This record gives sequence, structure tokens and C-alpha cells, in this order.
Amino acid sequence: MKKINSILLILIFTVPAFSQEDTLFSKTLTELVITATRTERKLSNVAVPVQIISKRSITQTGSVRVNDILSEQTGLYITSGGATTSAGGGVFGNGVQLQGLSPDYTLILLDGEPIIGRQGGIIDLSRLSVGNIKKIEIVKGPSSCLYGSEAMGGVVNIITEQAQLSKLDASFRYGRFNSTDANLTAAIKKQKWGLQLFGNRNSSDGFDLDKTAPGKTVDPFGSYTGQARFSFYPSEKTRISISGRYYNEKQENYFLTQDISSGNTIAITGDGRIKDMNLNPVITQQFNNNLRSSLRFYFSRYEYEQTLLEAADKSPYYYDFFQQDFYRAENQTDINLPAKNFLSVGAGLVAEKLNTTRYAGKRSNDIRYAFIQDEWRASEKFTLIGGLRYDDNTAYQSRLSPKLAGLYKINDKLRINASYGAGFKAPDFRQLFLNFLNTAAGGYVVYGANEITISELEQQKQQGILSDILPKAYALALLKPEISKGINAGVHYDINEKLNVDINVFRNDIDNLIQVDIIAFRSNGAPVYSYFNVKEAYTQGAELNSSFKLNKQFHLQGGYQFLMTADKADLKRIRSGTVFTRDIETNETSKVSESDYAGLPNRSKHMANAKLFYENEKKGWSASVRVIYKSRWGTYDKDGNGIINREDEFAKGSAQFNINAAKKINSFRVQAGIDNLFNYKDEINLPSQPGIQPYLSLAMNLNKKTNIK
Amino acid sequence: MKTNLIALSFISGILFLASCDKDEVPAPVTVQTKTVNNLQADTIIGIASNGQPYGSGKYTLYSLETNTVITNSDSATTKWDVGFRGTTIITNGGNSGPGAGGAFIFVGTFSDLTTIPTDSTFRIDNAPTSYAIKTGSGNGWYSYNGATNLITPIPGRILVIRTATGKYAKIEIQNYYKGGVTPDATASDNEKLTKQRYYTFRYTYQSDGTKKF
Repeated sequence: MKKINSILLILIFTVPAFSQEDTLFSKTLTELVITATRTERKLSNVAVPVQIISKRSITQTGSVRVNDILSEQTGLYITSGGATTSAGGGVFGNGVQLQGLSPDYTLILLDGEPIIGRQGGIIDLSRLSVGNIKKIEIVKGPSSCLYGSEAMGGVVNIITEQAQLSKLDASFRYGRFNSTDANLTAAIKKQKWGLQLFGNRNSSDGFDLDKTAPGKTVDPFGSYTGQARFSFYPSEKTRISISGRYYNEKQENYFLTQDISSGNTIAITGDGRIKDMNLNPVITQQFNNNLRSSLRFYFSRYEYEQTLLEAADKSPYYYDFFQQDFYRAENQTDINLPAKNFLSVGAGLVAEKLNTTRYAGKRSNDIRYAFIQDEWRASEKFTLIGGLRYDDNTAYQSRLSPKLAGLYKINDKLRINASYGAGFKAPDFRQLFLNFLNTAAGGYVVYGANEITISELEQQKQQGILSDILPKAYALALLKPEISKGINAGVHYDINEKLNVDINVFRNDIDNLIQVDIIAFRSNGAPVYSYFNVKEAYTQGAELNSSFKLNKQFHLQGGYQFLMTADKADLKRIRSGTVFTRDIETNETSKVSESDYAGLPNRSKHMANAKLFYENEKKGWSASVRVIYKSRWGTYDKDGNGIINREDEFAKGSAQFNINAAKKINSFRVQAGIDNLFNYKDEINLPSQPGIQPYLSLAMNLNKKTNIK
Repeated sequence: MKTNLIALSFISGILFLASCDKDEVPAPVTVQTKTVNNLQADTIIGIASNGQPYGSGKYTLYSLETNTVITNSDSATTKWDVGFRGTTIITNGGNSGPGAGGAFIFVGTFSDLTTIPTDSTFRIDNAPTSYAIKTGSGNGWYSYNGATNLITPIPGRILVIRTATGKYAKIEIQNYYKGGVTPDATASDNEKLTKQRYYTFRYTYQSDGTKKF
């Protein structure tokens, strides 16, 4: 199949070889990566840790949403709101941790453009259907040198299909809780243009883990995704593509709550809606063998609206509206220089706008940036990559992000690489512009760092609104971006044709983490909060991946990540001997030692996976058995010392077993499977895990002509 | 409530004596460690229109010497040593009362504190701007978790008290919720509000005026 693809691509897009080794024209079937350097490179020529998830493995695992497939990859930890959210969990959806950095610090790209709409810092990956994904590339380690803000822990780039041959595919999957997933893909491919259309409908009745509590653990929801990409090749050297995507989700809410002043139970009903759309025109021109330039435009809007009513009289109970707009224009030019230097330079403009009930009016921010990267192939064996990016804006401090990476091929089988990279995350709009009086929970106030000054606080004190201004308030300042510095070193060894091993060790130092702190007290005693750059942390560990082809039919994959993390201030407190714990049974206190400290919450020290794939192409059978393990992880502090150390502060480790089998008959493919075979549940810490999930799916290739062998 | 407390202190006194009997060398009993359960400290009775939960606004005054609650009408006397209202703890001194009271926070375990160090400085209440026992999350005896809305006493924080009559005591707050059990993070806001402001603490009172426990 890949062979066919690459031949077709030659027909479609005959561009002179950009670099002799790394193009689609190379005869050997090697995996290509675009995310690591922003130009297409063979995986074996990339100097930073990269993971590629192919369409084939998405199909084999029977995944439906992006979080499903990512949860089975080594070192990727999918978070779900848990016990730390008083609402019961799952409210902010499924985000992904890379190298122990929170989902807030992972950049999620769709065809190279950022997905927006973070809620509580998290891009909910279940917003994304896998139906038209060609592959997913994951670059680990700080990558702001190429991608700017948010690429602190790494980048997940979801690459969708573009028309390569005319086809019409449909698939439908049905599973427990009336969950359905329907896909329709149509592609038209002509000599000079191609059109790819994709539609997805995903819905579920939701589920209830705690029957005694009113309402469901996960409410019923349904979503539509539509995506279209038009590609046009007016000449051999010019490529124009326009893609658009629209996503619409509706969630039905129902729960009971108690009115605190009257003590009466009231029923609340309503719905939450998410709309997400984007438009991405790109024009690429190959001027000559040594010069290529592309101009990209991107517009994205994310909208969230929740309306809750009292069920009895339909009177308003809660209303929340959030609308984010993102505009970007960017040029990237790739130049081949003498002495095997491959230079990429680029610059761009970003405008972001926000309109929400949570802020005092509309807010916006503009960003200007430029980047440069040089890849120098010093010899057949040695490649060195250096890069620099500058991000400048008005709302927070500017940032310079460097990168240096090297790759050395000891021989055909063995290569080593090392890299240093910097990452940053711009303060988000909430940290800059929030202006929020919480009437429901004690009347406290939160100001974004740009929404309050010390003189305004002093004025409020004179007016009697505030009773006290704390010393911390005098430290109010322009927020700095949160930053990370990461080092990765790895070895790849092809032991023989059947077996290979990848090992990578990493260390990320994170600084300027933004935290909320009390700056004043209101005259009613309620605190006033604002944001400061205070926290420092680190994550370090090692990752191992191995792949073993037992024979033509069986393929075994395994992975393991060891992870250690710490909040540096907590570590200092523990070392100074001022941190104690209280025994649950006896109430006696004792000193906490460094070995009792579990580091940052929501992280497993050990994560492992083992997957066995079977495929018999002749007979059309395929099957898989996959086990994904994560060791216990910290939830939240219960003994009041601010750190995770006591036994009851951990969620249990667990192993999840997934199995499935599929059979191809002509142009049909039937797949049956069971996710979470042993029905593992943890309603407190894993509220988005419903337990055992059997499913059945049917895929059809509706025009046989294209089914070329 | 009051009878409960008396009964409890009576029981704990007996328990203490019983445990003393087992000791090889019975020392003269000058200090006793007592546990107080479910001491209500201005429990919440409603939510104001500004969203602020409120109680009756009165401190629950407590005598460490007699191990009893003192009525508010005696607030201007030296009968009480410490007072509790929500998370705020006052001492009978400064502008809180006519006594010689003061306090500071010792970092360590309850049993670690055998003698109050001679260089210790007792702080005095200057309400409402500053208290002998600092108010606010992480400053004094408790930490507040904004994600779970729960208040937890910080382990290893001992309140060293100078009483209204100039004697010394040490207090360890063990819990802030009814029955001495902190609600689950997933409990309703209502449960978290209605069960809070119930103190469980243990204390040692030194009646002979020395700084030894």
C-alpha cells in the first residue's frame, strides 16, 4: 500500500528532489517525519525522539478518538479530570502528558496548525476523530524553537489524509452504552486537483458508575465532524491546498444539587455545546532545486456554551460562554546551501481574540515571531541541527527559544542522538485577563495579572472594598512565560531484521510556572487572588521501545517509561525537615523523608505496554492483544502538607487489556473487539473509564475499482 | 455539647491515668494531654447574598485549664485561653482579651515539643489585621485546597499557647470537620460547608507555670 502511495505521489506532485536522501522518491520504504524539523525527513535521520502512529495501527487497535490511540503509546499518559475537581471529574476531558509534563504544556497540531480551545489548560483529545487520520507524529522534549508557545513537553501532530486516489469508504461501529461512530470518506483525484471529504458522527448514551448518586458520571453526548481538503496543482512546482474542519458537540446535563441556604434539593437540567472550526489555505512553491517557500494561513474558532436551568420552573441556574479566535499568517522558506546545509527560515503573525462571560469584556493579544534552523550534514554519519526562535508580543514578556541536536550513525544498525531544546508556554488568557467574582463559593475574587495594579488595590482599600493588602501584592508584575529546558539522549539499535530497540533518557527543568496566590483580603474576609511566576519543577526518566517480528504473521511490540518528577520548592521543604505527615489511623505525626515524596500528582512512575499483532493478508484475518499498564499515581494532598506522600493519596495502578479480531471479505472489513476486557473501574480517580466495552464495526470500500492490488 | 466535652475530658483523663499506671516510674502528674472532639467554632448557618457563608459570628471560647467551653458573656475575663471562629484562633491577650495570652507556631511533632525554647517569641493578637496564630492558608495551622475546597490542619504545626493567666500549653489541631473526618474531595459543596468548623484537637496544659511538657 505504501508503495502505491509513493508512486501516486510522484504522479501527483512531481517536485524535484529537495534533498537527495529524504524525499518521497526514495525507493526504500522508510517512515517519514515532518514534525521534528518542519521539513520531511526520514525517521532514521531525525535527531530528536519521535514516535509515529500509522493509520494501520489505528485501524488494528479499533480506536475511535485520538485519546484512544494515544493511550496505548509508551510514555503517553492520558489524563482525565479526577478527584481533584470537586465537580466529580472528567470536566476538562482527556489531555496528554509527554515526558511527565502536564497536558497544558503539550502542543496539539492538526496538519501542522495548533488546535485551540483549552479548558482548564487541556485540549480534549476526544474532540478529534481518527477516521481520516493518515498518521500521528509525536515529538518529545521541548520544541518551542520551531513551534513557539505550548511546545514545552513536546508536540503531537495529527496529520489527516489528502486525496491520493478516488475512493468512497464508509464505516460504522457500535459499542456498549449505545456508543456509535460512523464515518464517511470520499475522495476525488484528478491530474491537477484532488478533493477529500470526511464526515463523522460520534455519540453515546454516557454511563453511570455510581447509581446511588443522581445524574450520570458521563452525560449523553453526540458530535459531528466535517472536514474537507481541496488540493490544486496548477503547475509541477506549485501546490495549493485549502482545508476546513467543523466540529459540533452537544452534551446533555442533568444533576441534582442542594440549595445551601434552604437545604432543598433542586434538579438542574441543560446542555453544553462545543463548536470548533478552522480554515487553512496553504500555497507552496518550489522555485528551483534549492529553494522552496510556503505561505500558510490559518483561522480557528472555538466556542463553548453551557446553559443550566432549574428543572422545575426553567429559571436560569448557570450560564457560561467562551469564544476564542485564532488567526495566523506564516511563511516558511527552505534553502539548500553549500556544504550540505539545509536552512529553514520563517516568520509569522498571530492574532488571538477572546470573548467570554468570565472576563470584563473582549480581550486580545498579538504575537510576532521569526525562526531559523540549520541542518548540517557534516558527513554521512554525522548531522547537526541548530535553531532559534523569537516570539514577541504585548501581553507578556518576549521569549527566545534555542535548540541544538546531533545525530551520529555508528553503522547501519546503530545510531545515537542527543538534543537540547527550550520550550515555553505563554501565560493563558485566564492568567492575564480573568476578572472573576465567585459568588457561589465564598465571594472570592481572581484577577488576571494584567487586570489589577497595586494602585487599584490601594484605591479599593480606601473605598472599603478591601480590608488588607498583602506584601505579595507589591510583587505584581508582567507575567513571564512558563519555560522548560530539556535534554534528550537516545540510542536506536536494529539488532537484526526482526528486532530493534530504542532507548531515550530525558530531563526537563521547568521554571516560572504560574500559580495563583492571595494578594489581598476583601472586607468580608474573602481572599483576592492573582497570578505569579513562582514554581520550579523537573521531570526526568527513561523510555524504552522495542519491536520484534516473530514471523510474517506475528509482530510483538513493547514499551516502558520510568518517570521521576518533583516540585523543587517541595523538595527543598522536605530536605529542611519541616514537612510532616499525619497517620490516618493514629493521627500521630511524623517527618516526611525524601523517599516518601511521590513528586508531581497525576503521574505514574512506571508505565508499560505490550502488544501482539497478528495479520494474515492472504486470508484477510487480523487480530491483536494489547496490555497497557500504569503504576499508582498521586491524586491530591489529604494530610495537609501540600505534597503527595501518604498511602491514601494515591490511585491504584492498573493494567488494561484490549483484544480484537478482524476479517476482510472482498471490500468489507468486520472487526469485533473488547476494550478493558477485565472490566477495570475506579470511579473516583478514573471517572471517564466505564469498564468493559465490547464493540463491533463494519467498514466498506464502496468503489471496488480503486482496490488495486 | 458542654456535657459531652466534660464527659470526654473525663474519659480521656481516666485513659491517661490508666496509661500512667502502666509506666514503670510514676512521675507526679503535672501535665495531662487531653483530646477535644467536635468543638463547634461558629458553624455555618447560611450563605449571604454576596455568596459568603456565615455563622453567628461568635467565637467559641475555651479554657485549657478546666477543659470547658466558656460562655461568651465571660469574654472580658481571664476565664478563657483560646477562642475559635471558623479557621481563626484567638488567644486571651492583646486586643482579643484582658489576659496575658499569646502564641506562636512550633514546627515539629507534638511529642518533639518537650520544652518551649527560651528564645521563643510569643505573638500577640492585634485583630483584625494580625493574630498571634497567623490566619490564611499555609501561614498558620491549616492549608486550604482550592481544588477540593477542603481545609486540612498542617501536620507538624503545634500551637504553643500562653494562657490568660500566663501558664503554658501546646495544642495540635487534628481535624476541622464533624466527627474528626474530612469529607471526600468528591463530596458535595453542601456537605463540605455544613460539616466544617468542628475542631478535633489535643492539648497539654502545664499548670505549674513552667515551659516543660
